[in-house]
Amino acid sequence: MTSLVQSVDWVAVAPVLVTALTGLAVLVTDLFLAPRHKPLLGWVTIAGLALAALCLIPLTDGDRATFCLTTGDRQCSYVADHFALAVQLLVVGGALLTALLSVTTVRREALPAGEYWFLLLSSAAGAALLPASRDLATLIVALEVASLPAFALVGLRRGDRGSAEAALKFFLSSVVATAVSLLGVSFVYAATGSLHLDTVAGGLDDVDPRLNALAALGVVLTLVGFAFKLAAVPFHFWVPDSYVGAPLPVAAYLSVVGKSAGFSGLALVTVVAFRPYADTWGPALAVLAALTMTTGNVAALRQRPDQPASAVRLLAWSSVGQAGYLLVPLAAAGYHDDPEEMVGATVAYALMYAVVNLGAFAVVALVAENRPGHRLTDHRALFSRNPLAALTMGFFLLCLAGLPPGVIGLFAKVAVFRTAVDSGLGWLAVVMAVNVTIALYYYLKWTALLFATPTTATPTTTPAARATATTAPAAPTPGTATPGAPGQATAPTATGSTVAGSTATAAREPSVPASVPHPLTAAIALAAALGVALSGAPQLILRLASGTLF
Amino acid sequence: MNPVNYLYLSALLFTIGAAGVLVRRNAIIVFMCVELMLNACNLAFVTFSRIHGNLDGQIIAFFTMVVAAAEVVVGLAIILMIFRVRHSASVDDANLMKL
Repeated sequence: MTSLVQSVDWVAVAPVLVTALTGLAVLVTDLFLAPRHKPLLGWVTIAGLALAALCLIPLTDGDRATFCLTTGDRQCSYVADHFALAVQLLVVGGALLTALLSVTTVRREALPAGEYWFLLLSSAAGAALLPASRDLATLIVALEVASLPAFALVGLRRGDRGSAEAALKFFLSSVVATAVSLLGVSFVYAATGSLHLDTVAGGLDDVDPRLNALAALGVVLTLVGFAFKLAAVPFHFWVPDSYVGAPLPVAAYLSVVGKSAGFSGLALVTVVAFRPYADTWGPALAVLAALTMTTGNVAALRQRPDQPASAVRLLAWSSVGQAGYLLVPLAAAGYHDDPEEMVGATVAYALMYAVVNLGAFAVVALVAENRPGHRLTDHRALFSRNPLAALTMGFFLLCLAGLPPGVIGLFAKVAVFRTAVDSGLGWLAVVMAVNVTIALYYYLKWTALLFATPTTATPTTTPAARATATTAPAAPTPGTATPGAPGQATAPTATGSTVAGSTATAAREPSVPASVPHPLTAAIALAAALGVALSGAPQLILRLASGTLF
Repeated sequence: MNPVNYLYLSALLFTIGAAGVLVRRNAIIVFMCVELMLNACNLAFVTFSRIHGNLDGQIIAFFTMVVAAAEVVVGLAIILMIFRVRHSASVDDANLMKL
């Protein structure tokens, strides 16, 4: 008789394991650390995430699998294929940029350091496990590991009413979505008698006709929990509130890593597990995609620039709109003969979106150093105060809009668009084109605001903002902006000339506010360098959009 | 006993939970109703496991319990925090961030 004990391939699970273990190490170290040494924990986190990213390198062949059954058809619960690796890269990289953003926030807002880093790392571990899991139980557990710490992160600002309310809303709606998802899984299990995705696909192929309705209902309900994480309409109500109430880096994290958990889960259950029911989930996802992008973009249009936190609110609604684009290839997979080919466009788009959205959040954090209101009007004439930051922000916004010089944004949108056209979803392609045009308006308005003349500036600043604004120009420090320069000096092609020009401007007119925190500068520089590198060599991620990842 | 009866019970529990989530206004009650929904799923899993004669359903039920326990930890902490700030646990009072 063969042994039932499963062997574990530690190298394959290393990226997830390193992230989780770093989280535990940080939590324990926190107990023995004097308060003045606490900032060290942030750097341990960053090092751990970098190590986790390095652990992806030996896996690049994409042929490893572990936690396999020793009997029967030898189904595996954890597969490190190219899809899993690409999403894990996104998750670990996104968490790394978030950690860089958080170093300053944790210190300034006096958030509990040990808890903050532990929660961030555990959530990242869950999100990294999700794309590699190949059975429904692991998927649900990974989804919860990614979500539960995120609720606590949103509510971590002690005594802050907005933070508490944001956490409550996010929490209650998310657990309801999970419960509905779990009911869907139980129906699918009832119809197929298995939880492994491949066996489920086989089981759904020849379902007992009497169980047909049950299986279809199970398929649709299962999508709910993942659509919630992706913030697809109508499961998006928590997004603007949670983003505004949460500390800014956590909002950035939710908009990128949270969404990656949603779309990778959706991709797995639809394309791998529920493929025989494509005529059920295909139209459902197509409608979801159309609703999501339209609602997100129209709501983003409605944001008034002088309201408190309007910049974060606009990014929140734009992230809902972007989630709609992420859904388009998944919906297209429901109509295409070879659904696995479609998923790559989503992954490529998500990688592009992760880089530029985190970059945009980082610049918002930078502006908030002097004007903490997170208003859009705080960004007026950023170019005259900090040209480098204004140029990078303009680049990120143009990438999100999909205009040159944000070449990568354009190419990723084209890849997504092509999947819709290829699978005969003409109407969805039209809806997407209309939405991209709507989105142009508010992205370009924001970009124009960055380069507006400073003469009409800020009649509505708060007393605190005015105080910092008057003290800031008093201490010009020419060196503060330079850490951003080396990353961008290497920028190839289209944007290279403008960025080089901006470096010269920065040297000539050193009106940069005093003491921009270095981790924040590093985060912006990293995001900008990645964005520019991808714009120069789009094939780096567009390669994913051609051919299958599974 | 016919396993289908357990499915009826499970469906009833889930419906009670879902109705409670939609109707009740106290955050703690809403949260208890969510737990009811999760436990209804557990019962369904165990019953389907019995019908199919394999153990997958029972195993996922255990994982659901762990997940539910973790949810309780985070959820009660959040509800406690909001009660401290506002001296009320009603979800209707959480209106600070209306659009």
